[in-house]
Amino acid sequence: MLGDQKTSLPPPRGAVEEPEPGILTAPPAFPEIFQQHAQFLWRALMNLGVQRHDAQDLCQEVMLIAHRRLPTFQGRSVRAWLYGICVRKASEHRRSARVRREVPSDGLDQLGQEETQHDLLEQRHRLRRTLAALDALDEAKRAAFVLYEVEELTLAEVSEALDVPLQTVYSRIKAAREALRATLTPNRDKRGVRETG
Amino acid sequence: VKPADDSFDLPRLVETDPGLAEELALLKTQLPDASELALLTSRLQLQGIDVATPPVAQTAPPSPWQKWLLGGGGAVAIGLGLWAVGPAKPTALTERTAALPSAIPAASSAATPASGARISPRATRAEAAPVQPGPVDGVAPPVAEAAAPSATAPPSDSPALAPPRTVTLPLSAPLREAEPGAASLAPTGGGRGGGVSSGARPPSIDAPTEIELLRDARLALKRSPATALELAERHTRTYPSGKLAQERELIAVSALIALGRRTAALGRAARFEQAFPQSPYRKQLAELLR
Repeated sequence: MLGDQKTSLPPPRGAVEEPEPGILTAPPAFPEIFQQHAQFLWRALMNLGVQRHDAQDLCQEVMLIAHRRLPTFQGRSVRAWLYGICVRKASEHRRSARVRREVPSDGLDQLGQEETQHDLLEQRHRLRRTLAALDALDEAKRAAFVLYEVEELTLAEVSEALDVPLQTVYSRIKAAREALRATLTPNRDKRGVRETG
Repeated sequence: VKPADDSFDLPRLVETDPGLAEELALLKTQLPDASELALLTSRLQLQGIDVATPPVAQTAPPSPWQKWLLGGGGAVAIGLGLWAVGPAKPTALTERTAALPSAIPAASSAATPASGARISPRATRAEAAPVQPGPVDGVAPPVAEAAAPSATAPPSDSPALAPPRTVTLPLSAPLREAEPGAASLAPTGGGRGGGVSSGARPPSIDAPTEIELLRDARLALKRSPATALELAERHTRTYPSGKLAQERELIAVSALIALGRRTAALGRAARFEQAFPQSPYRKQLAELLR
């Protein structure tokens, strides 16, 4: 049945021929979605500029929206659809007047307990620096970069999540890489970098 | 030079620029910890949403409670959602679950009508008939009927699907006489941040946990809004800095509307919006008051 549906549909523009992991022809039940994706959507929200003290509410809102809209889901990839909701909610959140820009101190609880205090401080500093570099990107480039490089969506999934052509996704990721490279590794020898295009 | 549309291929950064990829690696650690995930689970369950077994946090080191669950306490599987917001009673929970022979899926504790969710016997004392569980007014009904894990392989960095755990519904403490007063909001709690504050602990080992109280309140909402309101007020008294203040207020406003106390509902909703301007329940609240 599902195979018939797949072959009867024309391939979307820029779509990959073989389904990538996460590309589904029928949406799973909500519990499965929650188990597989909730914590990664949380992470995406934070890397899209949401502070940890707001991540709980935002992630819940994403889940409520997904739960409400799942019966009418008609996209190709549930993962792309979920991350698309995340990007829109994070964008709304960042634009709201009440959002305060705070020094990020999140994510470090996830590091191993064996880390020394010095290591923790160093990692905290590096995370802060990295998030500041992401903050300096425009919203569109940041979203494409985070979904592709951190969340490891496919290019086609990022295109679907952001509702922009594949070529635009490609350009945004490349531009984000260049900006981050200039900020985070300005003095490094670039001979090891193998960028294409 | 940009490739043609049908030949896009962009190697991952880790392949093309390991140095920059290393700088960015910490972004992957921005995951919720176990208590944050469990709180998220509890809040969704209180909205009548079936989430089955909560996901297991990916990289957080095991907390003492997780160790307990995996160790001796693991003899009885307990949904994370229940211990996260009321974790102070492992012994009592174990005794209760051991005493009750029939376990129900954890995900159905307050969710799907078909799953046999029920109000606790203590709460039903105040009511004449069994409660027909249903979604909170203004809340979308659950759509997922099957909570069974799929055979679909998870994404590479997704958690492996654990087999469904089971849990029995803990019993709430006896109800006091209804004294529906104007409860103040507790903006310091309300699902902000993660972890479990010591202020959220019940004063005695027999007191119901936050989620027990609010699950009973939600289940009572349709049959007996007065009971639901009393349970919400009891939550306010017992957990003035609780993590589930937003859920409590949503139930309380729903109950006030059902009781015809629209002015009180409007006042309470106004305080809610002031205390929780970013709440995910803004739309639901507006629909309730429409």
